[in-house]
Amino acid sequence: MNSNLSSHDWLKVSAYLDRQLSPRDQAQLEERLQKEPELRSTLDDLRQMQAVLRSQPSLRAPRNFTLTPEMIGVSRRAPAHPALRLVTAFASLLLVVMLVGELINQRAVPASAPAQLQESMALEAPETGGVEALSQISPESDAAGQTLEIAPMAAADMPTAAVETGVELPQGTPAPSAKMVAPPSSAEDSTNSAPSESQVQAFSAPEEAAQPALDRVALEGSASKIFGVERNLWRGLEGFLALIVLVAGVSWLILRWRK
Amino acid sequence: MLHAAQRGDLDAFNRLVLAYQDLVFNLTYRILGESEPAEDAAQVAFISAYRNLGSYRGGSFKAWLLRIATNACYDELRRRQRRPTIPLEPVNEEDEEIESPAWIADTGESPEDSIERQELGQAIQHCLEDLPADFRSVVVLVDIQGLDYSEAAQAIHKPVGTVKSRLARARQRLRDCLRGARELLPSEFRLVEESNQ
Repeated sequence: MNSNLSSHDWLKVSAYLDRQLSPRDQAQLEERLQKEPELRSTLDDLRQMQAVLRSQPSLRAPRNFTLTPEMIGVSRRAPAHPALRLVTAFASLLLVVMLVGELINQRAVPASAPAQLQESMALEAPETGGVEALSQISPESDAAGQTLEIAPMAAADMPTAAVETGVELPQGTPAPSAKMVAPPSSAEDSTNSAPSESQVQAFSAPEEAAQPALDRVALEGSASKIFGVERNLWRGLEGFLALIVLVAGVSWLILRWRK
Repeated sequence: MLHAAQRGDLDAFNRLVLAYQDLVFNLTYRILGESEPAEDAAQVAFISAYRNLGSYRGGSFKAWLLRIATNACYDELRRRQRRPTIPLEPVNEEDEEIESPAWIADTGESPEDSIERQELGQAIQHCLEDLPADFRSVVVLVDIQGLDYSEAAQAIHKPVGTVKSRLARARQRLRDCLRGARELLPSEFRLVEESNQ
Protein backbone atom coordinates (compact mmCIF):
# COMPACT_ATOMS: atom_id res chain seq x y z
CA MET A 1 0.00 0.00 0.00
CA ASN A 2 2.71 2.46 0.97
CA SER A 3 5.52 0.84 -0.91
CA ASN A 4 5.91 3.82 -3.21
CA LEU A 5 7.13 6.00 -0.41
CA SER A 6 10.81 6.81 -0.70
CA SER A 7 13.19 6.03 2.10
CA HIS A 8 13.66 9.77 2.58
CA ASP A 9 9.93 10.17 3.11
CA TRP A 10 9.96 7.26 5.55
CA LEU A 11 12.69 8.99 7.45
CA LYS A 12 10.72 12.22 7.57
CA VAL A 13 7.49 10.55 8.64
CA SER A 14 9.26 8.49 11.28
CA ALA A 15 11.01 11.54 12.70
CA TYR A 16 7.77 13.53 12.55
CA LEU A 17 6.10 10.84 14.63
CA ASP A 18 8.66 11.41 17.34
CA ARG A 19 8.66 15.20 16.89
CA GLN A 20 12.27 15.17 15.85
CA LEU A 21 11.89 17.36 12.77
CA SER A 22 12.99 20.95 12.64
CA PRO A 23 10.10 23.48 12.61
CA ARG A 24 10.68 24.14 8.94
CA ASP A 25 10.70 20.44 7.94
CA GLN A 26 7.72 19.85 10.15
CA ALA A 27 5.72 22.59 8.44
CA GLN A 28 6.65 21.26 5.04
CA LEU A 29 5.65 17.72 5.95
CA GLU A 30 2.35 18.85 7.43
CA GLU A 31 1.56 20.58 4.17
CA ARG A 32 2.33 17.41 2.26
CA LEU A 33 0.29 15.30 4.69
CA GLN A 34 -2.77 17.34 3.84
CA LYS A 35 -2.22 16.81 0.15
CA GLU A 36 -0.89 13.25 0.01
CA PRO A 37 -3.14 10.52 1.45
CA GLU A 38 -0.42 7.91 1.02
CA LEU A 39 1.91 9.83 3.26
CA ARG A 40 -0.86 10.36 5.78
CA SER A 41 -1.70 6.68 5.75
CA THR A 42 1.91 5.80 6.44
CA LEU A 43 1.97 8.16 9.37
CA ASP A 44 -1.20 6.59 10.74
CA ASP A 45 0.29 3.11 10.36
CA LEU A 46 3.35 4.14 12.26
CA ARG A 47 1.31 5.77 15.00
CA GLN A 48 -0.75 2.68 15.36
CA MET A 49 2.25 0.40 15.40
CA GLN A 50 3.96 2.50 17.98
CA ALA A 51 0.86 2.48 20.13
CA VAL A 52 0.66 -1.29 19.88
CA LEU A 53 4.30 -1.70 20.77
CA ARG A 54 4.01 0.62 23.74
CA SER A 55 0.87 -1.12 24.89
CA GLN A 56 2.78 -4.32 25.36
CA PRO A 57 2.87 -5.18 29.02
CA SER A 58 6.17 -4.61 30.66
CA LEU A 59 7.70 -7.90 31.65
CA ARG A 60 8.74 -8.41 35.19
CA ALA A 61 12.18 -9.78 35.78
CA PRO A 62 11.71 -13.49 36.59
CA ARG A 63 14.24 -13.18 39.39
CA ASN A 64 16.37 -10.63 41.13
CA PHE A 65 19.65 -9.81 39.46
CA THR A 66 21.30 -8.45 42.58
CA LEU A 67 24.99 -9.18 42.83
CA THR A 68 26.83 -11.14 45.47
CA PRO A 69 30.52 -10.66 46.36
CA GLU A 70 31.25 -14.00 44.70
CA MET A 71 29.79 -12.77 41.42
CA ILE A 72 31.98 -9.74 41.21
CA GLY A 73 35.13 -11.60 42.17
CA VAL A 74 38.18 -9.83 43.44
CA SER A 75 38.31 -6.96 41.06
CA ARG A 76 36.76 -4.37 43.38
CA ARG A 77 37.85 -5.58 46.79
CA ALA A 78 40.78 -3.30 47.07
CA PRO A 79 38.87 -0.13 48.07
CA ALA A 80 38.31 -1.72 51.48
CA HIS A 81 41.74 -0.51 52.67
CA PRO A 82 42.64 2.63 50.79
CA ALA A 83 44.59 4.09 53.73
CA LEU A 84 46.85 1.06 53.91
CA ARG A 85 47.52 1.34 50.21
CA LEU A 86 48.30 5.00 50.49
CA VAL A 87 50.73 4.51 53.37
CA THR A 88 52.49 1.70 51.52
CA ALA A 89 52.80 3.72 48.36
CA PHE A 90 54.06 6.82 50.18
CA ALA A 91 56.56 4.92 52.29
CA SER A 92 57.83 3.04 49.24
CA LEU A 93 58.31 6.28 47.38
CA LEU A 94 60.18 7.85 50.28
CA LEU A 95 62.33 4.78 50.65
CA VAL A 96 63.33 4.92 47.00
CA VAL A 97 64.11 8.62 47.26
CA MET A 98 66.27 8.07 50.34
CA LEU A 99 68.12 5.14 48.86
CA VAL A 100 68.92 7.17 45.78
CA GLY A 101 69.94 10.09 47.99
CA GLU A 102 72.29 7.93 50.02
CA LEU A 103 73.82 6.46 46.90
CA ILE A 104 74.57 9.94 45.62
CA ASN A 105 75.89 10.92 49.03
CA GLN A 106 78.22 7.96 49.25
CA ARG A 107 79.66 8.73 45.86
CA ALA A 108 80.00 12.43 46.49
CA VAL A 109 81.45 12.73 50.02
CA PRO A 110 84.31 10.26 50.31
CA ALA A 111 85.55 10.77 46.79
CA SER A 112 85.36 14.52 46.62
CA ALA A 113 86.68 15.48 50.02
CA PRO A 114 90.24 14.05 49.76
CA ALA A 115 90.47 14.94 46.12
CA GLN A 116 89.58 18.55 46.80
CA LEU A 117 91.92 18.61 49.69
CA GLN A 118 94.84 17.32 47.67
CA GLU A 119 94.08 19.66 44.84
CA SER A 120 93.97 22.65 47.13
CA MET A 121 97.22 21.70 48.81
CA ALA A 122 99.01 21.05 45.59
CA LEU A 123 97.90 24.36 44.16
CA GLU A 124 98.33 26.59 47.17
CA ALA A 125 101.46 25.28 48.86
CA PRO A 126 103.99 26.13 46.09
CA GLU A 127 102.68 29.66 45.87
CA THR A 128 103.30 30.26 49.54
CA GLY A 129 106.79 28.86 49.59
CA GLY A 130 105.84 26.44 52.29
CA VAL A 131 107.12 23.52 50.25
CA GLU A 132 110.53 25.04 49.94
CA ALA A 133 110.70 25.80 53.60
CA LEU A 134 109.68 22.32 54.57
CA SER A 135 112.08 20.77 52.10
CA GLN A 136 114.83 22.53 53.94
CA ILE A 137 113.70 20.96 57.14
CA SER A 138 113.35 17.40 55.89
CA PRO A 139 115.11 16.97 52.63
CA GLU A 140 116.47 13.48 53.13
CA SER A 141 113.74 10.99 52.45
CA ASP A 142 110.87 10.27 50.08
CA ALA A 143 108.66 10.32 53.08
CA ALA A 144 109.56 13.94 53.40
CA GLY A 145 108.12 14.50 49.97
CA GLN A 146 104.90 12.98 51.15
CA THR A 147 105.12 15.14 54.19
CA LEU A 148 105.28 18.18 52.02
CA GLU A 149 101.93 17.62 50.63
CA ILE A 150 100.25 17.45 53.96
CA ALA A 151 102.56 19.78 55.81
CA PRO A 152 100.17 22.72 55.86
CA MET A 153 97.49 20.56 57.33
CA ALA A 154 99.90 19.29 59.92
CA ALA A 155 100.97 22.78 60.70
CA ALA A 156 97.43 23.82 61.09
CA ASP A 157 96.67 21.02 63.42
CA MET A 158 99.79 21.60 65.43
CA PRO A 159 99.83 24.49 67.88
CA THR A 160 102.50 27.01 67.07
CA ALA A 161 104.14 26.53 70.48
CA ALA A 162 104.48 22.83 69.91
CA VAL A 163 106.08 23.45 66.58
CA GLU A 164 108.53 25.91 68.03
CA THR A 165 109.48 23.94 71.07
CA GLY A 166 109.12 20.43 69.74
CA VAL A 167 107.05 19.34 72.72
CA GLU A 168 104.50 16.64 72.47
CA LEU A 169 101.39 17.46 70.57
CA PRO A 170 98.23 17.88 72.52
CA GLN A 171 95.63 15.20 72.38
CA GLY A 172 93.20 15.43 69.54
CA THR A 173 95.84 16.44 67.05
CA PRO A 174 95.69 14.11 64.08
CA ALA A 175 98.37 11.53 64.74
CA PRO A 176 99.59 10.87 61.20
CA SER A 177 100.16 14.56 60.56
CA ALA A 178 101.96 15.01 63.81
CA LYS A 179 104.23 12.08 63.13
CA MET A 180 105.02 13.10 59.63
CA VAL A 181 105.74 16.68 60.43
CA ALA A 182 107.23 16.10 63.81
CA PRO A 183 110.62 14.64 62.86
CA PRO A 184 112.33 17.86 61.93
CA SER A 185 111.42 19.51 65.20
CA SER A 186 110.74 16.73 67.61
CA ALA A 187 112.79 14.81 70.11
CA GLU A 188 114.42 12.71 67.40
CA ASP A 189 116.54 15.72 66.57
CA SER A 190 117.68 16.31 70.12
CA THR A 191 120.58 18.43 69.12
CA ASN A 192 118.28 21.09 67.80
CA SER A 193 116.28 21.60 70.92
CA ALA A 194 115.59 25.17 69.88
CA PRO A 195 114.50 25.53 66.31
CA SER A 196 116.36 27.91 64.12
CA GLU A 197 114.84 31.14 62.87
CA SER A 198 114.57 29.79 59.41
CA GLN A 199 112.60 26.84 60.73
CA VAL A 200 110.25 29.09 62.58
CA GLN A 201 109.86 31.20 59.49
CA ALA A 202 109.44 28.13 57.43
CA PHE A 203 106.58 27.04 59.63
CA SER A 204 105.01 30.38 60.15
CA ALA A 205 104.98 31.19 56.43
CA PRO A 206 103.02 28.15 55.30
CA GLU A 207 100.84 28.49 58.33
CA GLU A 208 99.61 31.87 57.19
CA ALA A 209 99.53 30.95 53.54
CA ALA A 210 97.66 27.74 54.10
CA GLN A 211 94.94 29.38 56.15
CA PRO A 212 92.22 29.22 53.42
CA ALA A 213 93.02 25.60 52.77
CA LEU A 214 92.99 24.95 56.48
CA ASP A 215 89.59 26.53 56.77
CA ARG A 216 88.44 24.29 54.02
CA VAL A 217 89.88 21.28 55.75
CA ALA A 218 88.12 22.26 58.93
CA LEU A 219 84.91 22.61 56.99
CA GLU A 220 85.43 19.29 55.31
CA GLY A 221 86.05 17.72 58.68
CA SER A 222 82.93 19.18 60.16
CA ALA A 223 81.05 18.31 56.98
CA SER A 224 82.15 14.74 57.21
CA LYS A 225 80.95 14.70 60.79
CA ILE A 226 77.65 16.16 59.70
CA PHE A 227 77.48 13.69 56.87
CA GLY A 228 78.21 10.95 59.32
CA VAL A 229 75.34 12.10 61.50
CA GLU A 230 73.11 12.54 58.49
CA ARG A 231 74.04 9.17 57.20
CA ASN A 232 73.05 7.59 60.45
CA LEU A 233 69.84 9.55 60.39
CA TRP A 234 69.18 8.50 56.83
CA ARG A 235 69.85 4.90 57.60
CA GLY A 236 67.51 5.08 60.54
CA LEU A 237 64.83 6.61 58.39
CA GLU A 238 65.40 4.05 55.71
CA GLY A 239 65.01 1.27 58.19
CA PHE A 240 61.84 2.84 59.52
CA LEU A 241 60.35 3.24 56.06
CA ALA A 242 61.32 -0.27 55.08
CA LEU A 243 59.54 -1.46 58.21
CA ILE A 244 56.42 0.49 57.30
CA VAL A 245 56.44 -0.93 53.78
CA LEU A 246 56.88 -4.42 55.14
CA VAL A 247 54.18 -4.11 57.79
CA ALA A 248 51.70 -2.48 55.42
CA GLY A 249 52.37 -5.03 52.70
CA VAL A 250 51.98 -7.97 55.04
CA SER A 251 48.81 -6.48 56.56
CA TRP A 252 47.34 -6.00 53.12
CA LEU A 253 48.15 -9.57 52.17
CA ILE A 254 46.59 -10.89 55.39
CA LEU A 255 43.44 -8.82 54.91
CA ARG A 256 43.16 -9.93 51.31
CA TRP A 257 43.67 -13.53 52.28
CA ARG A 258 41.00 -13.27 54.98
CA LYS A 259 38.49 -11.92 52.45
CA MET B 1 23.08 5.81 45.74
CA LEU B 2 24.97 5.95 42.47
CA HIS B 3 27.95 7.66 44.08
CA ALA B 4 27.98 5.11 46.86
CA ALA B 5 27.92 2.35 44.28
CA GLN B 6 30.80 3.99 42.46
CA ARG B 7 32.78 3.88 45.68
CA GLY B 8 32.32 0.12 45.71
CA ASP B 9 29.24 -0.12 47.94
CA LEU B 10 27.64 -3.33 46.70
CA ASP B 11 24.44 -2.77 48.66
CA ALA B 12 23.95 0.60 47.01
CA PHE B 13 24.52 -0.96 43.61
CA ASN B 14 22.04 -3.71 44.37
CA ARG B 15 19.41 -1.08 45.09
CA LEU B 16 20.06 0.24 41.61
CA VAL B 17 19.74 -3.29 40.26
CA LEU B 18 16.33 -3.66 41.86
CA ALA B 19 15.24 -0.34 40.40
CA TYR B 20 16.34 -1.15 36.85
CA GLN B 21 16.12 -4.91 36.54
CA ASP B 22 12.68 -4.96 34.90
CA LEU B 23 13.80 -2.42 32.34
CA VAL B 24 16.96 -4.34 31.56
CA PHE B 25 15.19 -7.67 31.40
CA ASN B 26 12.56 -6.24 29.04
CA LEU B 27 15.29 -5.03 26.73
CA THR B 28 17.25 -8.28 26.75
CA TYR B 29 14.11 -10.31 26.31
CA ARG B 30 12.90 -8.21 23.39
CA ILE B 31 16.26 -8.42 21.68
CA LEU B 32 16.97 -12.08 22.37
CA GLY B 33 13.42 -13.38 22.27
CA GLU B 34 13.94 -16.07 24.91
CA SER B 35 13.65 -15.85 28.61
CA GLU B 36 16.65 -17.81 29.76
CA PRO B 37 19.27 -16.15 27.54
CA ALA B 38 17.62 -12.84 28.39
CA GLU B 39 18.12 -13.53 32.09
CA ASP B 40 21.73 -14.46 31.51
CA ALA B 41 22.33 -11.34 29.45
CA ALA B 42 20.70 -9.18 32.10
CA GLN B 43 22.86 -10.71 34.80
CA VAL B 44 25.99 -10.27 32.72
CA ALA B 45 24.99 -6.67 32.07
CA PHE B 46 24.65 -5.89 35.78
CA ILE B 47 27.98 -7.51 36.59
CA SER B 48 29.62 -5.60 33.79
CA ALA B 49 27.94 -2.39 34.92
CA TYR B 50 29.27 -2.84 38.45
CA ARG B 51 32.79 -3.47 37.22
CA ASN B 52 32.68 -0.50 34.90
CA LEU B 53 31.00 2.00 37.17
CA GLY B 54 34.22 3.98 37.17
CA SER B 55 33.78 4.69 33.47
CA TYR B 56 30.32 6.19 33.98
CA ARG B 57 30.79 9.93 33.51
CA GLY B 58 27.34 11.27 34.24
CA GLY B 59 24.42 11.69 31.88
CA SER B 60 21.53 9.27 31.74
CA PHE B 61 22.35 6.29 33.91
CA LYS B 62 19.43 4.44 32.34
CA ALA B 63 20.88 4.91 28.86
CA TRP B 64 24.34 3.91 30.09
CA LEU B 65 22.95 0.76 31.67
CA LEU B 66 20.87 -0.10 28.61
CA ARG B 67 23.94 0.29 26.46
CA ILE B 68 25.73 -2.34 28.51
CA ALA B 69 22.67 -4.57 28.32
CA THR B 70 22.44 -4.07 24.55
CA ASN B 71 26.08 -5.03 24.19
CA ALA B 72 25.48 -8.13 26.29
CA CYS B 73 22.67 -9.05 23.90
CA TYR B 74 24.89 -8.48 20.87
CA ASP B 75 27.50 -10.76 22.44
CA GLU B 76 24.86 -13.44 22.91
CA LEU B 77 23.64 -13.04 19.33
CA ARG B 78 27.20 -13.32 18.03
CA ARG B 79 27.70 -16.41 20.14
CA ARG B 80 24.56 -17.90 18.64
CA GLN B 81 25.84 -17.19 15.16
CA ARG B 82 29.08 -18.97 15.92
CA ARG B 83 27.30 -21.92 17.49
CA PRO B 84 23.79 -22.17 16.10
CA THR B 85 21.42 -24.37 18.06
CA ILE B 86 18.25 -26.14 17.04
CA PRO B 87 15.40 -25.12 19.32
CA LEU B 88 13.60 -27.88 21.08
CA GLU B 89 10.08 -27.36 19.81
CA PRO B 90 7.29 -29.15 21.66
CA VAL B 91 5.34 -31.65 19.54
CA ASN B 92 1.97 -33.29 20.06
CA GLU B 93 1.12 -36.98 19.96
CA GLU B 94 1.08 -36.93 16.18
CA ASP B 95 4.58 -35.45 16.12
CA GLU B 96 3.31 -32.06 15.04
CA GLU B 97 4.73 -28.89 16.48
CA ILE B 98 2.63 -27.15 19.12
CA GLU B 99 2.56 -23.46 18.36
CA SER B 100 1.46 -22.35 21.81
CA PRO B 101 2.47 -25.07 24.17
CA ALA B 102 0.44 -25.31 27.30
CA TRP B 103 3.49 -25.46 29.52
CA ILE B 104 4.58 -21.97 28.58
CA ALA B 105 1.10 -20.50 28.82
CA ASP B 106 0.25 -18.43 31.84
CA THR B 107 -2.35 -20.58 33.56
CA GLY B 108 -3.59 -17.56 35.47
CA GLU B 109 -4.93 -15.98 32.26
CA SER B 110 -7.58 -17.96 30.51
CA PRO B 111 -9.90 -15.43 28.80
CA GLU B 112 -9.76 -15.04 25.05
CA ASP B 113 -8.48 -11.51 25.33
CA SER B 114 -5.53 -12.73 27.23
CA ILE B 115 -4.78 -15.34 24.59
CA GLU B 116 -5.08 -12.75 21.87
CA ARG B 117 -2.76 -10.49 23.73
CA GLN B 118 -0.25 -13.23 24.09
CA GLU B 119 -0.51 -14.04 20.45
CA LEU B 120 -0.07 -10.41 19.54
CA GLY B 121 2.95 -10.29 21.79
CA GLN B 122 4.35 -13.36 20.09
CA ALA B 123 3.69 -11.85 16.69
CA ILE B 124 5.48 -8.67 17.69
CA GLN B 125 8.35 -10.65 19.08
CA HIS B 126 8.51 -12.72 15.93
CA CYS B 127 8.64 -9.58 13.78
CA LEU B 128 11.27 -8.05 16.04
CA GLU B 129 13.43 -11.12 15.68
CA ASP B 130 13.20 -10.84 11.93
CA LEU B 131 14.89 -7.46 12.12
CA PRO B 132 18.67 -7.13 12.02
CA ALA B 133 20.03 -6.77 15.54
CA ASP B 134 21.02 -3.12 15.02
CA PHE B 135 17.50 -2.18 13.94
CA ARG B 136 15.90 -4.31 16.60
CA SER B 137 17.72 -2.66 19.45
CA VAL B 138 16.70 0.80 18.26
CA VAL B 139 13.02 -0.14 17.94
CA VAL B 140 13.05 -1.75 21.36
CA LEU B 141 14.73 1.23 22.95
CA VAL B 142 12.53 3.89 21.36
CA ASP B 143 9.17 2.26 20.66
CA ILE B 144 9.00 -0.23 23.52
CA GLN B 145 11.17 1.24 26.24
CA GLY B 146 10.19 4.81 25.38
CA LEU B 147 13.66 6.35 25.26
CA ASP B 148 14.11 9.57 23.34
CA TYR B 149 16.54 9.75 20.45
CA SER B 150 19.45 11.12 22.42
CA GLU B 151 19.11 8.45 25.09
CA ALA B 152 18.84 5.76 22.44
CA ALA B 153 21.91 7.20 20.73
CA GLN B 154 23.77 7.01 24.00
CA ALA B 155 22.55 3.47 24.57
CA ILE B 156 23.77 2.19 21.22
CA HIS B 157 26.79 4.50 21.18
CA LYS B 158 25.88 5.99 17.80
CA PRO B 159 24.92 9.47 16.65
CA VAL B 160 21.32 10.61 16.78
CA GLY B 161 21.22 10.62 12.99
CA THR B 162 21.97 6.90 12.99
CA VAL B 163 19.15 6.32 15.44
CA LYS B 164 16.77 8.24 13.16
CA SER B 165 17.66 6.33 10.03
CA ARG B 166 17.77 2.92 11.68
CA LEU B 167 14.46 3.57 13.37
CA ALA B 168 12.78 4.61 10.12
CA ARG B 169 13.97 1.51 8.30
CA ALA B 170 13.16 -0.75 11.23
CA ARG B 171 9.66 0.69 11.46
CA GLN B 172 9.10 0.16 7.78
CA ARG B 173 10.03 -3.51 8.02
CA LEU B 174 8.15 -3.99 11.25
CA ARG B 175 4.99 -2.47 9.84
CA ASP B 176 5.14 -4.77 6.83
CA CYS B 177 5.65 -7.76 9.09
CA LEU B 178 2.87 -6.84 11.48
CA ARG B 179 0.37 -6.46 8.68
CA GLY B 180 0.03 -10.20 8.76
CA ALA B 181 -1.05 -9.98 12.39
CA ARG B 182 -3.68 -7.30 11.82
CA GLU B 183 -6.46 -9.52 13.08
CA LEU B 184 -4.59 -9.81 16.35
CA LEU B 185 -4.57 -6.09 16.96
CA PRO B 186 -6.76 -4.84 19.79
CA SER B 187 -10.16 -3.58 18.66
CA GLU B 188 -9.34 0.09 19.25
CA PHE B 189 -6.37 -0.18 16.91
CA ARG B 190 -8.36 -2.11 14.33
CA LEU B 191 -10.98 0.61 14.33
CA VAL B 192 -8.36 3.25 13.68
CA GLU B 193 -6.93 1.25 10.85
CA GLU B 194 -10.31 0.50 9.29
CA SER B 195 -11.31 4.15 9.44
CA ASN B 196 -8.08 5.03 7.62
CA GLN B 197 -8.93 2.60 4.89
